[in-house]
Amino acid sequence: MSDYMDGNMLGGTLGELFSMDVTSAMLTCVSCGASWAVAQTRVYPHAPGMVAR
Amino acid sequence: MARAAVLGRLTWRVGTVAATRDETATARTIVLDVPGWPGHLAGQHVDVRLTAGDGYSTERSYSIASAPPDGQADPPVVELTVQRLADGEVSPYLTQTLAVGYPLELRGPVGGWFVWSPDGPASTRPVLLVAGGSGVVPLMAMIRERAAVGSRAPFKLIYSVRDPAALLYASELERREQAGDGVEVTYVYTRTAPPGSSQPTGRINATILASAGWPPEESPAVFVCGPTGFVEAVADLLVRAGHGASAIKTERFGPSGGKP
Repeated sequence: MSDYMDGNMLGGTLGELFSMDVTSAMLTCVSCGASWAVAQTRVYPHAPGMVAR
Repeated sequence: MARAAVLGRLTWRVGTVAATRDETATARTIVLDVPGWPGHLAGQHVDVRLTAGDGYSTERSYSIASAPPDGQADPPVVELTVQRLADGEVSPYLTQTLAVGYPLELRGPVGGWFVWSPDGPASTRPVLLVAGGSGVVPLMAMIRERAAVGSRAPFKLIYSVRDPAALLYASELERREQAGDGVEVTYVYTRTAPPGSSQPTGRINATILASAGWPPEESPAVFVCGPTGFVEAVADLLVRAGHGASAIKTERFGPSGGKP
């Protein structure tokens, strides 16, 4: 069973820090160059902190 | 008004339950008066926070079911539809205990990516909505917004559900489809079809997406919402059918609800 959640869920927590929507922001991997919206990532909320990949 | 929904930092605010509506035996719509609500876009969600007497607190995300307020209602109204999970920590409280007059703490509106707005080029672009179970909730907000603003963008909804008793918004969807102004609904039953139906039960497959959806050449905007496995399977089928990955927006709800 998968234990990751949707990148859209980061919007609430990060929305307290940023005055713009972060789920539409694009992330680019420095290693492989792949580019995704925050909303498209998989979030592992039970790591220390939240991990999006 | 619409832009206000994505500007400014989010803060927690307190809404008051104005009404509740049972949608199925296990799902309830909660109508909240939310003073100061800045408005929202169809598809956005809120985070709900419950705090126990001992200070323990926990949060969950719920999609907004209602179209953005029209600016007339004061205070603005926000509707959430919550599906009760048998082993849930938050949903039993929201669907069984919470009653008219109770306060509810919420933060939002959240998310500017999984949204449909009737403005600009989207005003006539075909839309394909694919729902798995209670994943229909944010898609319903889009259908309601379409009606509220009088949009004629052609919408097709493919709604996968266990059996007829689990259908959310059944009568409203029927009414909106019968209005004949461009909303088509196809139901896919995974376990039990309605009595007398000749339709086989099963999961959404490539054939259903091709017959009940839009061809890729129509360049539809696509929104898929449901459990993680459902969403990833449907998105794969759509990409294989030739839909551009960038045209497909997804929202998954995981099996976890947030508990470790």
